Amino acid sequence: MQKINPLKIWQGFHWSFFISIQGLIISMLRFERSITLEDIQAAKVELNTSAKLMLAAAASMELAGEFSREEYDRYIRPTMMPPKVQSEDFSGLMFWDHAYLMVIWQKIQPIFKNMPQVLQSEQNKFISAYMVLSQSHKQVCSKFGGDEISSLRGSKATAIKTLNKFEQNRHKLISNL
Amino acid sequence: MDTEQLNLLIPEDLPVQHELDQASKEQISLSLNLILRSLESDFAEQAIAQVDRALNILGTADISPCDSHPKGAKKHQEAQDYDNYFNVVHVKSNRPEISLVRSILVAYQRFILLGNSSDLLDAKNIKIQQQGFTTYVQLLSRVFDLSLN
Repeated sequence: MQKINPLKIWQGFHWSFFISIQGLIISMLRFERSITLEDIQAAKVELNTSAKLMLAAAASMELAGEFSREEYDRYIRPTMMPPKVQSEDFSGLMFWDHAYLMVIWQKIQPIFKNMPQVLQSEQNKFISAYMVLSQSHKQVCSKFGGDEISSLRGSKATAIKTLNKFEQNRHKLISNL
Repeated sequence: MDTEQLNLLIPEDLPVQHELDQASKEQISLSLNLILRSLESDFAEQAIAQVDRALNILGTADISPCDSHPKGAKKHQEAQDYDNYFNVVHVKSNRPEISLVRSILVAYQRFILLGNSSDLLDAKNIKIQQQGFTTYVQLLSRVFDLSLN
């Protein structure tokens, strides 16, 4: 089999990631609805679904980075800077659905903080799945020099430090601590 | 046929619980069942054929690119910049169920083609992503109140 163009891998597996995020939005809203209706069984199903979609998102992230550092530096990173894109701060934070998902997590934070005991196990699985996703993101980022160079967003912090901060903040949103 | 652009419903329009008429239920059920069959296929050609069949059964909806963002013009510009890079268009649709399932089919089709083009991709991650597609199909069966095979 011939080697695939790194840009095709990068873009193609991002499509899988986008689909997982949309699924996650739907399942999280259904989870919220289930809690409101006090339907614990449905809440379990939707929280488990959310965890599985998060793991799929992690997998697609890693698949999207299946090429070498040299290929990333040569074929990918330059395409994410002006003039190839408009934004100086081009990053995944610009993805509409990701931003919407974060708004949902903010909104349902009280549910996570006061999770019924009977859903604790599902919440733990959900948090574990999120940590897998975060770890995958950091792994791909680190592979491409994220612990040496600044984030795509142009801040002075390295990309890995930025992702660690995101992980801490988001973990707070979804845990009961 | 490999589709070059991925049309995604705007997230605000993603259905959480959506009642369909009988004809739409059959159409969406058939398409989702074909995705499940495709995911069970051992051969990429078979899997792609089932995706193509599902796309034909599904047909198309009237869609239009979303021309604004709830958070304003700057956010809209950023979202479009990101979308353009990945050949994505966020759309409004008169048949959100069709547009949603189409988006899964198109992304899944690209996933199959990439997976079939290289044996260097991590097999474990391929499997997990396949399970993700299955999970999403099962989720939509609940959203649209369908019984799938």
